[in-house]
Amino acid sequence: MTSPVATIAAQAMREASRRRTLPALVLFGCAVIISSAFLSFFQLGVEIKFFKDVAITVIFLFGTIATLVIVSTQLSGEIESRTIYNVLSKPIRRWELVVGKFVGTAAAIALAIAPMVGILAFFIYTDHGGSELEAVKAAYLLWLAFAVLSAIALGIASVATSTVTAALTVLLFVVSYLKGAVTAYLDLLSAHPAAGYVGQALYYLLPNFENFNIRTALVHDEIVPWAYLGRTTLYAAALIALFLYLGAQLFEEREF
Amino acid sequence: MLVVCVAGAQVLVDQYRPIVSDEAGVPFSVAAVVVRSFLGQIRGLAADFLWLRVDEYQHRRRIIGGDLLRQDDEALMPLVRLITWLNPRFVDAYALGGQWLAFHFNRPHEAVAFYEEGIRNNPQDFDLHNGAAWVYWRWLHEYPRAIALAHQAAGLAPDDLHRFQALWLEAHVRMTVGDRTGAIQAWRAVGRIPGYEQGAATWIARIQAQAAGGTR
Repeated sequence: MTSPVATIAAQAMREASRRRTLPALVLFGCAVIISSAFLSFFQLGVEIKFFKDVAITVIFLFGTIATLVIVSTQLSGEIESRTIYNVLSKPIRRWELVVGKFVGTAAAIALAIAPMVGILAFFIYTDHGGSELEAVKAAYLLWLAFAVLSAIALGIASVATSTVTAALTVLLFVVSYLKGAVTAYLDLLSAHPAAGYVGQALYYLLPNFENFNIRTALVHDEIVPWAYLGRTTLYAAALIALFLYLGAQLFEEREF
Repeated sequence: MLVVCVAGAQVLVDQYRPIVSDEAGVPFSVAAVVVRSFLGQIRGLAADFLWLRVDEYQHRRRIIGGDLLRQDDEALMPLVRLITWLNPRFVDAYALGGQWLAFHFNRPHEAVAFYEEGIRNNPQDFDLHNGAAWVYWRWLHEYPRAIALAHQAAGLAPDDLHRFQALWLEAHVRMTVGDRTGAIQAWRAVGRIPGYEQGAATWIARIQAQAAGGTR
């Protein structure tokens, strides 16, 4: 007998794959990566670095868009269309619904970026442009970033509409990148120790998506230690647990 | 409890950041931090596209009225600076910027400052060490620093030709300061490179003859 989480996850995956936007994003991303492999603006030796940069950036951009498209309508879309009542009438706990949606979304995103990662690894192999394993590591860390983004979006979606979910998720995503600038300004403008504490709090409490960025190591053919992957996985797991817990608690309290 | 776990996990990750990140340990200015923050994960790609423009300025230098158009040279430097902000591992930008500051703008102090910044961010790069050594030798006449950088460059050379170039430079700087012993050692190192034995022997003989003749 399959668990409710697995059933919900499988349903979420099927829903995601039925969307027209997801296959279109995947096809377009693959086309951009393949076309960049044949650009010859740079001299020999530099082309492969440029290609790896382009490929990782495309995977990041399209993966982010795919995550937002899938998640923003998963929970809040079902609430708005009232189909959530059908699900909640079954013997399933609300936290199982949230976790199941997350697992399904994460799996759908993994399937979406897999073709792009495959193309990247293929061209690295044929051009002898470094290690394919490092490319897979970089893609795995990006997938972790998308999983964290999904958890954040699901946490917000448990109380907000799909439009608000998408907007707030993007805002939090952007703020997490801008906190470096904010911290630097706080250090510059204020000699008061409180400014430093605020900066430190921002650094440790807001999600740090730079942890999942090993583009430099991939482009410069460096080996990323497995220990880094393990620790970043722990970090992602902690963030996912935090936002899913918050989302599940808010969803439990919500009345329909 | 979960928030503590998140903070604790971030501490664990930070221990490995210098290995995998192009920002850990680099003292960026506030302006650089702002630019990097706004571009986020696409900053590497932005640096690559800026390099296309820099490459165009570098190779398509226009001649107006019988002289090189200075505006093209001057337009190149802010782009180079921006590239190094976006990607401190972009060695070509540091090398080009240092060369342009020394050769085209006659600003050797700024050139070595730029080179030294590039060396701090890319301590294993041959071109930056060798380029900086040239400027210290020919423009600033700071020979100890030139010798040290050329010696380091020889150890970082990716192939025999580059190793020869660095050792050649080290030998000539040592000769400039009258260190014949050091120069001979450098040429002996050249002699150990396959195909360079004859040239090295010629130079060693010349130095020894100068020493015997009492000339510099």
